[in-house]
Amino acid sequence: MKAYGGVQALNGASISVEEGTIAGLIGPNGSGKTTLFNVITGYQRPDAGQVYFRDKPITNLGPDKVFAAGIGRTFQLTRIFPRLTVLENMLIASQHSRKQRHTVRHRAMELLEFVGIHGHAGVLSGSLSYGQRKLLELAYVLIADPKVILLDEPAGGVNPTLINHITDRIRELNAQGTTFLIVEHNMEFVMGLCSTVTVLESGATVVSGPPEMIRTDKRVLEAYLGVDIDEDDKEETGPGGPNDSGSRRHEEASSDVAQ
Amino acid sequence: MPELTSRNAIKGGLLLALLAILVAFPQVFSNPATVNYGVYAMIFVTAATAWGIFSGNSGYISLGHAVFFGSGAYAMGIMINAWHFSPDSAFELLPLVALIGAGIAAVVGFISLRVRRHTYIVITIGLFFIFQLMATNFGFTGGTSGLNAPFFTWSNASFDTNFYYIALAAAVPAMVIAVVVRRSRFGLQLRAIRDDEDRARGLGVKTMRVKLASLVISGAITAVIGAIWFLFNGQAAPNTAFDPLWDLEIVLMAFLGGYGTVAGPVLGALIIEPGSLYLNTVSSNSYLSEIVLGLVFLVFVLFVPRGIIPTVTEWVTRVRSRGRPAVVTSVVTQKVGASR
Repeated sequence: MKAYGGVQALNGASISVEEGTIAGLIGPNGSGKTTLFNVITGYQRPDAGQVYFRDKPITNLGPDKVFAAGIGRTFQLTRIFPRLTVLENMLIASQHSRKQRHTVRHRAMELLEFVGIHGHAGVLSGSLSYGQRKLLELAYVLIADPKVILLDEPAGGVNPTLINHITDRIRELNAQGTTFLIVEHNMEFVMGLCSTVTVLESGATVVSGPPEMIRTDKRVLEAYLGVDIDEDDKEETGPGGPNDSGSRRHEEASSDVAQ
Repeated sequence: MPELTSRNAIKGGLLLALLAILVAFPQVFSNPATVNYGVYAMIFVTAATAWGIFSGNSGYISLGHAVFFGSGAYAMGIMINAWHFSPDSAFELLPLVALIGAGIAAVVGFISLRVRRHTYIVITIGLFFIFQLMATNFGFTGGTSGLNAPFFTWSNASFDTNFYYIALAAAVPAMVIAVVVRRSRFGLQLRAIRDDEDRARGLGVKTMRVKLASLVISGAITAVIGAIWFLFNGQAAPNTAFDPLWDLEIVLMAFLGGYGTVAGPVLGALIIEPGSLYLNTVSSNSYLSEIVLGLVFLVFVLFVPRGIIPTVTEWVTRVRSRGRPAVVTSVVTQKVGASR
């Protein structure tokens, strides 16, 4: 639970992400998605509730400890270091690395190449386009070899070609074993990429399940998706039960932020 | 990268030439009044460089660096008087002054570096006035009249020249330290803090430790140059060793030359300090230099906000890249390929 003044940003939000999957987190504006991200990654402290990572509580750890533990994240409005070069941005994110300097540098260039902005390595990152900044933020999170990556709107404000590019990168990383939790408004993006989708509304989990189920869940349609999907999908489905938090054994990062 | 090496060679050559000019200066212009300008210029070069090591890199604007300057001056004065040092051996106390400056910076930083931006600036001003009040009111600081330096037996002409070289011997290491910090991982962490401190911390930068370390380095250098200033000036009083205008002046020097660069504060000090000393001699009105200083600041903030060095660098790059395609990136790509 996280309260801002009288407003409770999160209340009864429960989400669990299984290792090796790509999970989605959706919900209307102000439903607490980013707050949930902040609570998981240590940028905000919950007033109540617990965050677990591989069965270990990480609830009140600082953001650096969470990052060192293996949970990387990006921000909705990217947070890069604009007056450092692209390569320097990469080096800043490799604080926990015990590797030799040139090894880190080499790895940084590899990752820049992986996301496709290696040609800009020597450029001040403030001069990158918005999409390129998103790629840089992803690349510098990757340099710490995180087990889980939380992406806050990776496709927001990015052109379709770049969205495809980002999707491919995420798939490739996932195939190598990285777990993802993605907040995104672009439904096509989420439904195409994620194996599980959790819906948040007013700080509480509404439903959690595979995309096909979310698409047709009545409460989700009411809360978030609106009519157009209703028209697309006439199929009647049973209510997807509220997120059952019973099976937490295989979870990689799980957050149970409830009162 | 032949282009890069030739650029480095030019840079290295320029630095050597600059050093040669600085060393030769009192021999060529042996007029004591001119050398006197030189001593003050070197004192301010050192102080502005020290300020840049902390504020230029971290983005924490200190308007209270006179705390370290004055503390260095007073530390030297108190130790000389207490331990009866001869003037010539006073310089042996400089390492101790550096330690005292570092200690004060550690304490001051531990308190003030918890807040940011405007709040930080206000706190540095507050700390400055606390130190000035302490200097005025404590018994061992000599109250409002301050402390006197021992009398040097050097001849009039050699006095200025000797002090010029002493100040230069402080300025050069200060600049070297500034360059080393700038190019190190430590400097990179500082600049990351300047850009987005929370994010840097989230990525594992030990922000408090890094900020504190840079303030300690900066404070130690500033204290040393404060002590040298005290010996040169002959005395330190609360209103001269802890001078609010001094604070503004070094900040102005850094901004004029180029905030955040190593060369900027040096250039700014070399322009402003001799300039204001000259104005003080030509005019009977001692406020003229301050008025001009204010005007210069205004003009620069309006027309050259980033300072001389960054602006000129940009012009040069623009002129040199004229007619070439606007792609900077191919060069870097080649470098990557080669490094494999």
